[in-house]
Amino acid sequence: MTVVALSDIAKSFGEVQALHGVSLTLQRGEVHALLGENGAGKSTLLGILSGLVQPDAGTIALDGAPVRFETPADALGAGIGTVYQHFTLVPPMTVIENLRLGLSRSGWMGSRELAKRLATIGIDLPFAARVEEIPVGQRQLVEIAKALLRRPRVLLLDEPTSVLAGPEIAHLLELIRSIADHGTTIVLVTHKLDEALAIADRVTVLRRGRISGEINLRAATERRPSLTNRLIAMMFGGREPVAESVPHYAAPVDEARVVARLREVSARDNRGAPALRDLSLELCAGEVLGIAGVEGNGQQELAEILSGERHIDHGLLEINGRPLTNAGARVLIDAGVGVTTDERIAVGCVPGTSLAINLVLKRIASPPFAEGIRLHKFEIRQFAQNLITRFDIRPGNPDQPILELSGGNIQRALLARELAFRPDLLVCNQPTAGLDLLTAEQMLARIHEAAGEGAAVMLISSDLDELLRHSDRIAVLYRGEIAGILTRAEFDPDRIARLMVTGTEQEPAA
Amino acid sequence: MISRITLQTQRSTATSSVLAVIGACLAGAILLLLTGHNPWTAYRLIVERGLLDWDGLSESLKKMAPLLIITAGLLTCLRAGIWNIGIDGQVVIGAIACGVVAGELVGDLPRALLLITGAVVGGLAGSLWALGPAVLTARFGLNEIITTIMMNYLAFNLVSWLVKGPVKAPDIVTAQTKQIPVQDRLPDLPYTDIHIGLIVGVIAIIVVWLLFRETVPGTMLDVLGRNRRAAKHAGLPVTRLIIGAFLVSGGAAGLAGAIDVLGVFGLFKASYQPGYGFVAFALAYLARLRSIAVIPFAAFLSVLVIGGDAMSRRADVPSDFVPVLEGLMLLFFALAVWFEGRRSAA
Repeated sequence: MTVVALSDIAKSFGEVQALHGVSLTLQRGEVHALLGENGAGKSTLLGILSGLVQPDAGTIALDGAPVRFETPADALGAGIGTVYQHFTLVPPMTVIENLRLGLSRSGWMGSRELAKRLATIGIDLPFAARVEEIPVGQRQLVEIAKALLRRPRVLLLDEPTSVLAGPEIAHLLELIRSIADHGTTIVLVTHKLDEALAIADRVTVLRRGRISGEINLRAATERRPSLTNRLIAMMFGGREPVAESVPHYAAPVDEARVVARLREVSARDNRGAPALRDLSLELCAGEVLGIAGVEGNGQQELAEILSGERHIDHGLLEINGRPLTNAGARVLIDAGVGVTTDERIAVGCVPGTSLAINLVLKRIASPPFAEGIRLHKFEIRQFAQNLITRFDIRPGNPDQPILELSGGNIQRALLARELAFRPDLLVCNQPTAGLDLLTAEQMLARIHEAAGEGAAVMLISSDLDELLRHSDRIAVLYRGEIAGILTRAEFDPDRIARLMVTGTEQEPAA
Repeated sequence: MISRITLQTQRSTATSSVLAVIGACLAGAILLLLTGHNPWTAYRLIVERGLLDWDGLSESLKKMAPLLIITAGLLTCLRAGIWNIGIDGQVVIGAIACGVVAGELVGDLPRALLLITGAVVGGLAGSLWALGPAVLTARFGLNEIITTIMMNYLAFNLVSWLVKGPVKAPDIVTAQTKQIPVQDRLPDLPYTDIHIGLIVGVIAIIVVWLLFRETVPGTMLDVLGRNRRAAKHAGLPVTRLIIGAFLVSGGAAGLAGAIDVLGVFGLFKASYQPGYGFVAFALAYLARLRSIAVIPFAAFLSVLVIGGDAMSRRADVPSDFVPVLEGLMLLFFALAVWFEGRRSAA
C-alpha cells in the first residue's frame, strides 16, 4: 500500500540543480534506503519530505491525495516525522523533558504512559537522566523515541548511525526493523551500503539529482556480493575510462622533495569522536594528491589540521622538514601552507567587509599591507586590484562587499588569496563544489599551475571523476584511515569506489 | 534580547535609530497621557532644562563625558562580537582605585601629575577587573555575558566593603574616601564650568574611530566580530584580540569612573553607582556600532537624563520615566532593525 508518492520533484538552489524530476513511492511498513554520493540529492529529497525545502516542481501525494508542506510543522501534522543528523535535544534537560518537548499540545503524556508506549516500541530509556549525561548512542534513541511518540506514519532518518559505534549500530538497525514491522514506513538516508543491505526492503540510489537505480531486496534472489556490486555501479559506475582523459597539465613530481609529512596523526571531530586514526601521508613537490572518500570520513578534519584550525591529538606534522604539530594557523600560513576551505562563506569570508580585505586577510598584519599597526589601505587595494585581474574575479570592484559576489567568484577569490603567496603546500577542500563546469575547470587549471610551479597540492573532492582526471595519486579515506593509495597507473573507478564504500579492496565475503 | 548577530550585520543606515527615538518619544507621550500628565509640558520641560538652560546644558555636557569614554571602549568589544556586560563593575572599581590613590597623593604631587596618576590608576584598575572574564572567554571559551555580570556583583560588594572599612577616610562619618580639594580637581573648559572630561570623551571616540578605520588591530577586531571562524582560519591572534578588547573596554570604564571622581565628586563614596553600562549599550546600538555617531546620541541621552530629572520634579512625573524612555528606544530600535531586515530580505 503506497503511503507517500513523490512525482517529478525538481529543485534547484541558485545555479545548481539538486534534483531533476525525481519520482519515488514509499510503501506502508517498509524500510526504504536512499543511497547516494555527496551532492546526489539525498538531503534535498529528505528536506522536501520533511517540509524544510519547497520543491520547484512536482507533487507529493499522501494516500493518493496531493499535499503541500510549507513548513516542517505541516509535514509533522501529516504524520511525517524526521530525525535529523544533528541532535535537536536540549542537553541539560532530562530525557523525559526532552521527550515531552516533542509532544503535540493535545498529546501530553504522564511518565508511566510514556514508558509504556516506549516499551511497546522496544525502547528503554533512563527517563530521569539528563541528556548530557547519557552516551551518544542513547541520545540517538531519545531522538527516535521523540519522533515516534507522535505516532508518525512515515519516519525519516538522516544518517542515524553516523554518530554510533559498532554494537550500537546493530541495536539501532534492529530497532528500525521492528518499528517498520509495526507498520511505520522508514526512510533511511545513508551512504553506508552494508546498513542498507542489512535491513532495507528497497534501496533507491540517487546520483546527480536523478534516480540511477532501485533494487527490491525482498524480491532479489542474488547474493550479497553481487548486490553490493550492482549498488556501487549505480552510485559510481558508468564513468569514462581514465586513459581517455589524461590531464593536460601534469607537472613533474619531485619525489625527492617531501613538502608535507603526516605521521600517525589522530584527531577528533567537533563532537569529540575520533575522525582521523593514525593517518600517515606524504606529499611531494609538484604532485597533486587527490583525497577520495565518502563525506564524513575525515576529509574535513584533515584539511583543518593543515590549516591549523584543529588540534592533533597525537602524531606529527612536518612542513618542509620542520615539525609543526599544533603550531597554529598563523605559523602554518607563514610556513607556506595555503588552505581553501569547503565552507566558503561560513569560514572563508567575512560578511560586511570588502573583497580587498578578504583577499589580504591571511597576511593583513605584514608588509606591504601594514606597517606597525597602521593599515596601508592603498597597497591593499592595489594588491586586490592586481589579483582581481589575474584571477578574473567579477565584477571586479575591490571595495565591493565580498558576499555580493557569486559563489564562483568567491571561490576564485579564496583560491587567489592562497595562490598569490605561492604556497609550498596547497590544500583545496572541495574547490569545485557547486560551481558551473567552466569555472570548475578554471579552478582546477589554477591548481595545476601551482603544482607546475612546485607546490604540493592536496585536492579533496567528493567528485570522483574530478579526482581521476586531475590527481597524480589518489588516497582513499575511510573512517579516518587511508584505505589505499593508488598511483595513476592503478586508477580504476570501481576499485576506488569499493575502497570508498567498504574500506577494503576485497570482494565482500559471500 | 536583541540578537547578537542581527546587529552585527545591519550597520548601514541611521534611519532606524532616528525612527526608534521618535517612536519611543511618541510611546512615552502616550504613557504620560495615560497617567494623567501633559506630554507637551513634560517634553518642553526636558528640553528647557537639559538644553536651553545654561546650567542645565553644562550639566548635560558633563554627563556626556563618562558616556562617551565608556561607549568608545565598549565599541571595541561589541564590534569584536564580545558582550562586556561588566561595565558597571569596571566603572566603580576604577573610581574607587582613583579615589584612594588620588586622595592619598593630594598635596604630595602637583595638580597635573595628581590628575594624570589618578586617571591612569582608574583605567588600569578597570582593565585589571576585566582581565578575569577576558582570560576565561579567550582561553576557555566561557560565556562572557555570565562572567562579566558576576564580576559586577563582586565589584559592587567589594567597593562597598572597602569604602566602609579599609579605605574609608578616617575623620568623616560617611563611607567615602579622602576628599580631593576643589582646586586640585579636573580643570574646566575656558568660560564654562564643564570639566575637561568632555574633551577626553571626544578624543576617546576619535581614537576608536581611527582604530577601526586605519589600524591592523581594529580591522582584526572587526573581522573577529563579523566571523570568528574566518578569523581563526586566517590565523588572526583571536585570543590576544579578545583579551585586548576586554582590557580596552575595562580601561575605558575605569577611566570614566576616575574622571567622575576627579572632575565631579572629588572622592569615592558608597552611593556611587551610576549605572552607565545600560546607557552605553543603548548608545552603542543606537549608533549602529559606529563611533562618531555615538556623539550626537550621547548628547541626546544626556539632555534627556538631565532634563528628565528636573522635569520629573516640576511636572510630578515619576523619575523612572527617563529609564522607561531609554528602554522604549531600544525596543523600537530592535523593531526597526527587524523591519529593515525583512525589507532587505524581501
